[in-house]
Amino acid sequence: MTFGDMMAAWTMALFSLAILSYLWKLNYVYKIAETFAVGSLLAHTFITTWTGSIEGICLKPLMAGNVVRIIPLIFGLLAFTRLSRRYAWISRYPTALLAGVGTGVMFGATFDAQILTQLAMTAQAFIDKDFFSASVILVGVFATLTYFIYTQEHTGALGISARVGRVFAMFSFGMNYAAELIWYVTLVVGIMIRLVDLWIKGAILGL
Amino acid sequence: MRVSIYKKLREIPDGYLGVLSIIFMLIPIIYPMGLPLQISEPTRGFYNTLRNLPEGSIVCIDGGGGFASLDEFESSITATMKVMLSLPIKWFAWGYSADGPILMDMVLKKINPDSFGKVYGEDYLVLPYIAGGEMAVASVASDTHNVATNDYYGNDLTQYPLWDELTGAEDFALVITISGSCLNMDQETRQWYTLYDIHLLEINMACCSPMSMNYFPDVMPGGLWGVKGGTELEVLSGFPGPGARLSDTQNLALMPFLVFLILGNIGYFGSLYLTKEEDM
Repeated sequence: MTFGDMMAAWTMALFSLAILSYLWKLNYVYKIAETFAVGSLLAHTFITTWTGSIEGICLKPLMAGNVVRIIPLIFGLLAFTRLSRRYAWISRYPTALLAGVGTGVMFGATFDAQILTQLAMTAQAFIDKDFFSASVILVGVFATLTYFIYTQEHTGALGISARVGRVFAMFSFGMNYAAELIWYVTLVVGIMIRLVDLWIKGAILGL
Repeated sequence: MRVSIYKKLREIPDGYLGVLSIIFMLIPIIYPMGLPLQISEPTRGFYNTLRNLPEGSIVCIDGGGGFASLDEFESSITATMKVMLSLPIKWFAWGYSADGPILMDMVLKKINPDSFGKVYGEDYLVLPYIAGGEMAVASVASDTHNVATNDYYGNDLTQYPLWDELTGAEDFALVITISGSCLNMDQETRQWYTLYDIHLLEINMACCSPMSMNYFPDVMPGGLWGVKGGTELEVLSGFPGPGARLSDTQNLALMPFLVFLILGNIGYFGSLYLTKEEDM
């Protein structure tokens, strides 16, 4: 292990332990590590945005004579007028442009992608003649939809359907929660593996 | 007497769960176990879709995700890169998130594409982070040349032959989307499948699989979610990687959660039953 690798292993270990110390209680060691993480993330984002977007997409083509690229640059700079109380209103223009373009880009295909495609795939099990899956999907979709009907009291047939829908929704939330738990466990597992491999085995024991 | 047992079960301190989970976690880290694994349909679909691409096809990789979830992605990205480098196809990756190209570069350095006989700029290319979220996706799809002038390493893109072949969605046979967002498939479907009829493969965190499964298999013929997906692809493709050990550790670490879940439910329903019995 080189000196650089050893320094990296110790830095990783100390910062990991500092962040994990939050499990004991909120403390200064944790706060220092957290501040470092936020600061380095900000610097990293700034540099990657500068090189990739501002320099790569605006400045370089602009210098090469593509004058149209000055427009996004001006709009970007206008966002900083927010720092002045007198001219803050100007910053609404880039914000409005961004929101408008964003909505436009999304809106056109949303109906097709999220409604029609999903509907088609709900029916896919019938087309594939997998009638068990098809029935479960059909009952699940309709029952869950009825659970969200709030303009009618949940009694009679609607009440039964809503109850079934609630069970389907609980299955879905349960699955989501379980998947979330797996994600959190993976994060801890990753930290533990690095602590054991790089720090204990590599930097301390020299294996 | 019975009430006190149920009460005790309900009041086991959660600190015990943490300690037990860490002990279970350490076992496979110190002694690797190689637990059996079943290959799921989305992983099989992922692998087969890549393998069935015609020779010379170009794959676009929307490289998102972040270092905070590195352990969730690493095995999947590594196995995917190895499979793609072993096939007669070309690919390019662009940074959908600020960390995306860095993750890609890190994985590429580990697997060494030269050993697969691939040449940078001819067979694969890594573009930098392109800000804008879904708007960036739309721009890459409509006019790829408009979104970057340099590659991730700061080199002029015009010097690479592959760059000339990338004009827009019409040139791409497939899109692989790497993301740490559970709404990822919604936007990727909007921009690639709906507008250009291009199918998607997804690499995402385990917690996003329920949301993405809505698109399987029509829009998304395959997907890798979390460590499990990556490990499955490692096994299926025959390219070993970091996933197997992570997967074993994760499986064992979850055992105490299952035990506590059962104990907690026995405590809860037991006390509920006894309370009802007393009321009667």
